[in-house]
Amino acid sequence: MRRGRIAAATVLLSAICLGSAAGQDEALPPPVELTPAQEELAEEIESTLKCPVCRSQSVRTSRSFMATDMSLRVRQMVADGKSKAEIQDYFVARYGDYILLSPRKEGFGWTVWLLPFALVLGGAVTIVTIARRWKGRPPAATPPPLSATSTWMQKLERELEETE
Amino acid sequence: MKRFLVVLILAGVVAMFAWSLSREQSLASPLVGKPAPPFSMPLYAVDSTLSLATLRGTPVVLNFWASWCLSCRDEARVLEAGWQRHGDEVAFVGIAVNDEADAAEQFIRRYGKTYHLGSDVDGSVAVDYGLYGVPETFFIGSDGTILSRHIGPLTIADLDLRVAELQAGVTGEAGGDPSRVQPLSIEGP
Repeated sequence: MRRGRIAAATVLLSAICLGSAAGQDEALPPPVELTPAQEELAEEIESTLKCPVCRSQSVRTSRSFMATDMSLRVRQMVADGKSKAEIQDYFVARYGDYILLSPRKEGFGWTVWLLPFALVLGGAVTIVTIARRWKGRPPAATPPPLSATSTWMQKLERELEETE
Repeated sequence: MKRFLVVLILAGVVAMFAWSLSREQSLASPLVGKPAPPFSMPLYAVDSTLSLATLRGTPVVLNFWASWCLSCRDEARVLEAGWQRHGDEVAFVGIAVNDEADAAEQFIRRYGKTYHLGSDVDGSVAVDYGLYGVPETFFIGSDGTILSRHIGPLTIADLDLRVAELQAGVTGEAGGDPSRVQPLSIEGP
């Protein structure tokens, strides 16, 4: 809804700014009116599109000129009954895959989606392997008990007797 | 096992790096080799509109600019000189983006621009051409196919090369200087 108000305000502001240009008033597009369901779809699509002149911002969150123009186009296409995939295709055809905030689940894009899971799985396998190795290792050799006949014990007993 | 994991991690890092590079803003436009998106725009100075369709059969230099763009000032005289030199064979069209009519008309007078100059009133042409900022120039063959895109200001040498490519009808290499493009961000007029 917020984007809708921004788009409407932008169109109004443009009308004020450009109003002095003779012959241009007629060219201004009317605000795009959407049903609540269309509004929801437009906002969802805007959230998947990168603002090309911003740093890691979607068209939905950016207030740049470019994002505003793109938002208007999204809304026009939604009003024309275009699907989410069709609208994304439209922008990809103009900007490349770069314009999508998340890679598509197809072709090379799968690598990016699956790689984190592969790395977590690899890490888990490593931990289990190391733990098993440690568990299977024989216990450290314990020193033999000191026997009463050992030289050291005999020396100790002798010294104790002398002390007494 | 350890070797396999090292290879897996390295492959992952390389894949992520390749993916991030593929998502960088590129000089090459996906539109090159494809039909130029049609448009119709109101012209400055005269009470009429220009449609790209009416230029079919003539190569077109399509330049996006704005009066608030510093690089466009450097480029303004280059384009006018190019129009004076090649205007018999190539159409020159300038579209002001996110600009105020008064400022754009003042800019046109100041730099003595005389080719087709109009306004992208609602920003739709900029979106149709996948614009990042201004100046950006598309070179459209006589059959309506986009042959190349140049981002950043054109020099006389750039323009002569592109016009020669247009006349030969060959696809040109992507070119330009992205650092001299003023993005269509919040820092507009």
